[in-house]
Amino acid sequence: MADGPLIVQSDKTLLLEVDHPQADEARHAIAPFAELERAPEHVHSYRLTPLGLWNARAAGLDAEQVLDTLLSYSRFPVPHALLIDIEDTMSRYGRLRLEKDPQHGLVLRTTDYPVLEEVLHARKIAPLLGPRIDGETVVVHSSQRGQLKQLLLKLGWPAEDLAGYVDGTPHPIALTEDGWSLRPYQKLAADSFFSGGSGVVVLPCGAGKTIVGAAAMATSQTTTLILVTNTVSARQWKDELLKRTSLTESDIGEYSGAVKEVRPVTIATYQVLTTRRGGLYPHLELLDKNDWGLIVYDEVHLLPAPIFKMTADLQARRRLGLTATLVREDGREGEVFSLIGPKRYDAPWKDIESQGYIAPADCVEVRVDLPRDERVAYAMAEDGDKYRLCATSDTKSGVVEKLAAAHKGEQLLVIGQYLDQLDDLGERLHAPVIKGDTSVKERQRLFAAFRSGEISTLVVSKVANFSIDLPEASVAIQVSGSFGSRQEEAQRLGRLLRPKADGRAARFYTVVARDTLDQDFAAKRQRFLAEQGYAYRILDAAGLPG
Amino acid sequence: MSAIRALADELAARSDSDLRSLLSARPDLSLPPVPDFPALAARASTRASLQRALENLTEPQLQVLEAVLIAAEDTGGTGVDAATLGAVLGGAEPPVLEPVLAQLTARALLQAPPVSQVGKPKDGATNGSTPAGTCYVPVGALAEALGPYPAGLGRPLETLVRVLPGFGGQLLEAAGRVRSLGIALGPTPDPEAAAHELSGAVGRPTDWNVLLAAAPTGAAELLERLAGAPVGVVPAAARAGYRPGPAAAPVDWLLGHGLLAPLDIAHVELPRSVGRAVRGHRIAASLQAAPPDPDLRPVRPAVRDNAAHSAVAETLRLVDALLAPGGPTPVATLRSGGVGVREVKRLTEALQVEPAATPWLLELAAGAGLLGLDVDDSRWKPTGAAAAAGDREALWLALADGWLDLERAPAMVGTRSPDGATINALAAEASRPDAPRVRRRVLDAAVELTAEHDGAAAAGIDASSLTARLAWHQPRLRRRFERLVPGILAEAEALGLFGGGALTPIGELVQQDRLPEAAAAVREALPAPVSHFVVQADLTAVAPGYLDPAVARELLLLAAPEGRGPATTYRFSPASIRPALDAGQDAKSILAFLTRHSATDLPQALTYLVEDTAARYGALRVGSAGSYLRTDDDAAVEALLADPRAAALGVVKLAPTVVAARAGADELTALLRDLGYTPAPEHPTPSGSAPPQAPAPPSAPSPALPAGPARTRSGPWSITEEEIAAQVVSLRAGARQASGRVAGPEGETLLGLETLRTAIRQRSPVRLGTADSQGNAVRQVLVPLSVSGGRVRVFDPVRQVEKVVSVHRVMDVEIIEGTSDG
Repeated sequence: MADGPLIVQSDKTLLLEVDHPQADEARHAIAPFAELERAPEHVHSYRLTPLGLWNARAAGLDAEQVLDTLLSYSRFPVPHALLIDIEDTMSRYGRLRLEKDPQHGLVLRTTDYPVLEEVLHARKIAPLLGPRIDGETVVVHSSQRGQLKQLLLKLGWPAEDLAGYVDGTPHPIALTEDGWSLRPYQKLAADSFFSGGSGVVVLPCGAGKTIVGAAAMATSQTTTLILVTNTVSARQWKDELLKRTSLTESDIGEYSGAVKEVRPVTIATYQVLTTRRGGLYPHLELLDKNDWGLIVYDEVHLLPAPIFKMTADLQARRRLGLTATLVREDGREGEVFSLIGPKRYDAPWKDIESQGYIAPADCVEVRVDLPRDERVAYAMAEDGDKYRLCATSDTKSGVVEKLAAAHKGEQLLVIGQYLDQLDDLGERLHAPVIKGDTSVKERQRLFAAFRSGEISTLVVSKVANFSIDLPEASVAIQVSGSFGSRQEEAQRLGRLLRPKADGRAARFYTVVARDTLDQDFAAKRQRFLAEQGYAYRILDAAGLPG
Repeated sequence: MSAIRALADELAARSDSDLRSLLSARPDLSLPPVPDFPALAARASTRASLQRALENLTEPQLQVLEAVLIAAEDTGGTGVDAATLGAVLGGAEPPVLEPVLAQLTARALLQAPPVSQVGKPKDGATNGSTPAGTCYVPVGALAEALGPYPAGLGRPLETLVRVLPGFGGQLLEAAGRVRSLGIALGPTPDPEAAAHELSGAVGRPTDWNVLLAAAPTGAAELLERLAGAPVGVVPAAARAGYRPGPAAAPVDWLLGHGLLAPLDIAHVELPRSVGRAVRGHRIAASLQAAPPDPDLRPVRPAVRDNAAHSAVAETLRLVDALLAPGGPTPVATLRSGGVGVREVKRLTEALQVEPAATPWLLELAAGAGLLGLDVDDSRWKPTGAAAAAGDREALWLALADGWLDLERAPAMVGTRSPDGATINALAAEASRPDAPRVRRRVLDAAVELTAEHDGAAAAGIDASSLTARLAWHQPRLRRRFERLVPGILAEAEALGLFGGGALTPIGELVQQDRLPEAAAAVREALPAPVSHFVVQADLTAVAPGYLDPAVARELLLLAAPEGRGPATTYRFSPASIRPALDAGQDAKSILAFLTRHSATDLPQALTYLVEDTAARYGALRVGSAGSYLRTDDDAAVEALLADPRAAALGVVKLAPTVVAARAGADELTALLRDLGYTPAPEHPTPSGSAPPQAPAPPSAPSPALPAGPARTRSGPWSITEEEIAAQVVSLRAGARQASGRVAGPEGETLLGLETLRTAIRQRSPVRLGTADSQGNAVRQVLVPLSVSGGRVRVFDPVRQVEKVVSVHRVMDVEIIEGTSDG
């Protein structure tokens, strides 16, 4: 029996022993068809999903290659049923093809007549289709391309989309690599995206996703619409694009609550697009206003549901999704895949860390004991209030003060969920507090002061969870969060991962009340990071120095 | 001379070795031993014995036998020789037929009368040049044993006329129509003659061609279709009558010309003579002298072994999981027998398998004796044989051995029985006593097919080619094979006898009955157990392979298993560690175990988790006690503990001022009084914290003590001396009489069943009190016949009918004395 690095499980997971000499080779071999699910320090686990297998087919891999890979790297016999299942699943791809017909426009064509019959008889699909041309071909309403693809995927007959993309209005964009250059993985990510047409690039926070976006734009050379989570992030994108590309101030427009500019490169917020007035989305026409050649979705894991629907109508345009964590708390990863596109690039965080592109991080959970009266109050509280009670315990403030004192002189972020708690901490640490009602201008001023070192401590609410670039922050203290949200945890850690000038490791503290919901949620939140290889140490608050 | 007599003489004349071969080919002839040849001949001619013999005939043997039977009828019973047979069997040559005929004679299915009385073959064409050979006649009840449709041909017209009312008249009309087509028929004064004449005409190729030419389009195809299976479904077969005309439907035309017989409203039968004519005036188009060439797909040996080895590992893992202590067993059964759907679903969830796999695992484990039915509570429990089996090699051996002899068809579970009910796992309905034989045949045929397959790749044998081969060997069992073979193949794959559809070396060893060697091959194939795991910071331990059972057992106390496959992931959590603490381990021993078996350093988070959980384990402690003592006086506690009687009461000091005792409050009170104290009984108050009571005066009756036995009679539980005496007398009189009040409903049922069984043994009637569906009590005198599955079969002597009574409706049973065996 071969002594391979891979264990193929009958539940469709693959376990990869990373310390095995063949591990790297095996990782590259399985990456095209298996989704990395967990990457703790010794054994990574990948999952085989129909979607992943179909993506592999789309990328030109056939079932035999997949089976060969599994058989050659597997340490134990591979469950036969799994092999048959893979063959079967992969053979379903491409029996239906979306093509451009010179006469009829967009058509759905099949090589397998019964499949088309099955599809035509599906209740939800029938309205998306036009007249039938012959036994194997049916006209598709071009506006329904996205929805049709999504429904076909659900039905288990994914369509091979050969209809191509619209070119979009050309607009010259070039990277200006002076004093910096595209990192190898960024280039690889941009290239794999472009060769795949559309899709999602997954990179850890701080690994330079914006630059991947810029590189994609430079390849596309067309007008581009960039969708981001909020205004601050929009400004950061703009600054970054000005710095990294040949684009000038006049090329880039901002489309947000405050400003409504449409320029060759337009940066819009999700919020403005999903604003509803009188049952209509007045800003939705932005999507059609320009002949965009590329649409970039920043933080695609936060893409709001209405945008899904809009995106369904944009299938003829190239789409790039960027994210650090393709974990959606609403479990709609599948929709991201079918509407934006499959995952085109993914790298374990630890890999990029080991290459020195993101800072190493030391995660510490500090457990505090609630005092007796708080324990009693907690025990008797209504279920709905329990988390708030334990997460905002006064004892945490003392611990935060101690930790802040221990890291005096370092750039420190205190992150929390509850505003009262944050205000209290701001007072104790003599630090400014940034929360939802802080104006954009004020936020930018404070962030700038923090970056320049003028302020060494910032207390922030969840507004700073995403897309805020604070390169020098090296210590973060998390006091409360949105219950068990794993992606929030990852994003918060991400704030610290920009490589430090002096190569220091970042320190990420989570202060947790023992024996409460806080501890349960913390365990759930940490699981994602642990699965990315970020091990938590646990300390008792009583054992802290000082 | 009667046929049996003739056979007896023929048998008597056989040599000893011929007789031995007959008896070994048909073992039922001498089981039990027969006294003489007439008896042997008689037994050999019985329908049951013949049917058994027919089951073991190959396709060519059966074809020849059927052809002899049919052709012998043509000759009026004088017998058929090889040449005649060849003519009706697609031109098979006598050298091919002679050995087959000899085999059939050796098995006493055909007889060759010593004096050749060759019947004239009807065509006379093929017989001229061939020398007249031995003539064969079928033995006695062969026609009956072969059934009404030998060789897939319908009954002769002559028979149909006799058995189908009204058909005779139609046949007379048909004869007229046939004549009008210009075909010469003899006189047809009655239906029998018409049948005979029509058969004759159909059998003459020239006349047949005339008939075919006159038939409307579509008739020929219809005939072709019916030529394979003589009875067909047509809409409105029994029609009012045939009206000639160009628009006549083919069915009507055929019916009108006597070429089809209407059986009932929807079925028609193709008469034998017509069937033979359609087959080109033959009984069979050709003799299937050689088995059909199978369509085998090449399977790479690597793929075969991969599939087989992964299947074995998975089966063993699942059986292990099924039988593991703390696993999903015991398994409850339904009252009607078998394991219900809900229970199977529970197991499916526990084992994380496909729903169809659960019944198979249950059947497999039960077949190997690893699961046994506990008759006391009707639940299937691990028998301990699994633990005794020890390693995986032994477990596989037990499973394979049990499977080979399993007289059940696990694949039938989930299908519907003839009465429409779904068959449950481990239910009697899935019982197939012939399954072990079919399994052997499957393995034999697989070996045969594999041997015939050439090329470097292994032979991928699917159910259809295997069934075709088996059906060639035993055509009479075709349906049985079709039903059982797909399931058996799937089961054999699960045990590694097949892999990817090809027979594996393990399977070959099993076929040769070399099970221990096969088990050794399994051991070779299975990866060696590992005794280490990899612990990670996400609080999981991954065993990179099959974890040594001893290590796995201990790890299971610490972590919850996840995932299915060769490697198991164990996840740690405070809840998962608790069982180990309950089992008496502490943080030190747990960490020592983990460090010993972990291939990597333990992450700090796990160490913390173990230590933290262990440190806080037991902050609250729970035990059970019969009574307690609390006081402010430590000295009283010490005095109590010092007394030797305290130990007998199970007194334990929980705290300086608190003592618990196993004994009840009254005993503890008595002891304390003996020691000179004056304890006050305490009742728990609703608030839970009783205020200390002032010591009560020693003479006051303690309310905690149960009130003394009541002297006065009151309430339903009282009983008089006379009643007790009467009870003793009735008990002495024996258990035959189940009197009124016994311990409880369970006892009552058991007694009732016992009485019923006694009555069944003695065949005595009982007075049965039952509750009808309205809940009314009914008393009847009935004769119980059997009790099983929660039902009693009884005979009602008044109405002279048998009926079934549910046990749960039975209220009481009383044997009626003195009428036994009446």
